[in-house]
Amino acid sequence: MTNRIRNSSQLVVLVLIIMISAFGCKSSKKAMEASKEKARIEQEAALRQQQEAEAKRKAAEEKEKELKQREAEAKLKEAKASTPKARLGEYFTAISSSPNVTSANNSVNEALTLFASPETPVLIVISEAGGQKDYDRPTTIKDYLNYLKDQKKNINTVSDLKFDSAGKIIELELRKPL
Amino acid sequence: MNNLTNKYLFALITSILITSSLLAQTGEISPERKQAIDSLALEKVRDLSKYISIIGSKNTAYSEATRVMDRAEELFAAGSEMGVSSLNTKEVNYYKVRKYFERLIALNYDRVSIKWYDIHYISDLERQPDGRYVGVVTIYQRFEGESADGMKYKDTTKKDITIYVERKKTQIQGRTVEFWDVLLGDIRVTETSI
Amino acid sequence: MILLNPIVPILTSWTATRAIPLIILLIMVGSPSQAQLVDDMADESKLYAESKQVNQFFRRFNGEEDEKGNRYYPRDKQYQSVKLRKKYFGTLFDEGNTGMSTSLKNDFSKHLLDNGRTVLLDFHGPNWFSEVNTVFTMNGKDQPVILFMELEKSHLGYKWVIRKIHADIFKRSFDRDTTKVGQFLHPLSHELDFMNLRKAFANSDSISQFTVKQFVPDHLTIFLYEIKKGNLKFKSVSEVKFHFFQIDGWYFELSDINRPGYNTGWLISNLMKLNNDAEKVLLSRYLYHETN
Repeated sequence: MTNRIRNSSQLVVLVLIIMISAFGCKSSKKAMEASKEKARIEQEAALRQQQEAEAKRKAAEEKEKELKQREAEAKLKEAKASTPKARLGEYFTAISSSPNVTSANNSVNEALTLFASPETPVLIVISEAGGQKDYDRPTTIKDYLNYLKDQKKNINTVSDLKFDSAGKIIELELRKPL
Repeated sequence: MNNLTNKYLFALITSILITSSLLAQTGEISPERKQAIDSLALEKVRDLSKYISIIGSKNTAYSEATRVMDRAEELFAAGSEMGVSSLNTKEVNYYKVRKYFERLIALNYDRVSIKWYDIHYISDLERQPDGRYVGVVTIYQRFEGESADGMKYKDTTKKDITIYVERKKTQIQGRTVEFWDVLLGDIRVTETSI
Repeated sequence: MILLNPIVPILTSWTATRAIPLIILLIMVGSPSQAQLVDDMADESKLYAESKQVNQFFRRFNGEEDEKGNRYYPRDKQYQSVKLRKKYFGTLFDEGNTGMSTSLKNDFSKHLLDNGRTVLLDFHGPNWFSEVNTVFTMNGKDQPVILFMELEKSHLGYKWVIRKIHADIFKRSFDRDTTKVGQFLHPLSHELDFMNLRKAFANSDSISQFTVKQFVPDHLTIFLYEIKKGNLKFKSVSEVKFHFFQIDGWYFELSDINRPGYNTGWLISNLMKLNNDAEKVLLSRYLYHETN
């Protein structure tokens, strides 16, 4: 009988030990998990901070890049704008998109100053094959500028300019879109 | 021997001249050139439309309208006319181009909307007895208008526009420049029941 | 309407008075605003379908353009291909005309396209002509005149010329009744140096009776003479159609059909099989108004 009691109390103790150890495991597991969680949260926060800093850095970089590009473009434009071809192109755009007749006429008169005379010939290439160019009926720069003003369209591109010794244009070649 | 060579040379030169004149006679326009000429002709048709809209607009001053009429007339060959007919009557009414422009200035209209259909059809270029090429460009226009008394009118017209194409030469800065001279001719306007 | 005033002086008819100002309005391109494109796809597809020019009819008949109207050239694979021509064939006819049966059209199609055939229309070729219905004025009165015209080679190119004309007004002048005995110059008139000619010509109404049996007046000559004299003045063209005898054993008529829908423009408005030359000649004479 005592043996049986001893055995059962041993069994109870064993069970208790198992329970305690299990509980202990659980709580230590929980504690472990808690600390793991804490570490994870701290890690995430750190990562987020890192990413934000990175993003800020990138944005700043981009902005600088953009600024530099715009500066470069402006410089290029400035350089280009000084060429007669570019200036002429700008005048054509201005005349054909003028909001009113007065401003259009002003642009026409300004543009004419680039030329030796209002009767300066203008040739328009309609096609080219085997080195031979086909032209539309030749016109004068005065007529062509008025044409742009009336038609409000500017589809031809400047392809060739000839100058006199004074730097004035004596012949203009345009190209129709092919 | 000299006589024989001369005779041979004479025959050779004659045959070359005949061949070149024959080529000048057939004068076929290549498909690529035809495409460029078609494009040019269509551009002139669009130019005419724009000039007419300026001439007919109430906002255009008379002096300006006159200047634009001159430019519009430059698009045409001399003697060109408009022939107009409606669905109601088979009769065609004919107007000289300049006369037609002048009437545009004289007329007053309210709330007019004119639109083009994108479609255009260009015929083959045919050779006339004088060597000039002639073709016809067909376009369509939709008109919607409201008169002062509130009457509404809606219509679609077909326009068959004659084009004359000629190879010409001119002197530019002391050198000869060849170009394609494209002029508009008679225009037939037919009301169409689309 | 105030709008009419500037153009009233040139109008000649009441209908023109109403229709023409509106037409002039609709001719005008653009308004104070920029000219715009119509974006009605259904409408535009009808315009693509339309046989817009006689030139287009030729090209579709011969298989020399695509559905958008872009030209094919000999170097293109589709140029005059049987497949393309078969595709176009059905679109060449006035479907509103029940006089042309499906079997007749099929026979025609077979003749043009079957067994490796390439029977084509030639714009510059013979055997096709135009019937131009016009209005002239004679002594102030409107008179219908039909001009029969054809293409003729001339110098560096071609031109349209008048071959014949038909005008009822001229026909009436030469009417005579050959069944009756009527007036005549007796068989021995020659013995008196034809002095009875004076009496014959005294009455201008009946002088046609003194011409040969086979006499047929040439309307074209009179037409030209009357115009030169200033008696006959052109007013307007009222209708144009074309007659084709170019396809061996066949005749067809080409008319301009103006109506809503997809089957519009220059279309075959009549088709006939010609079984022999006699039929061809008879039809030709009928078309030229030469049968009576």
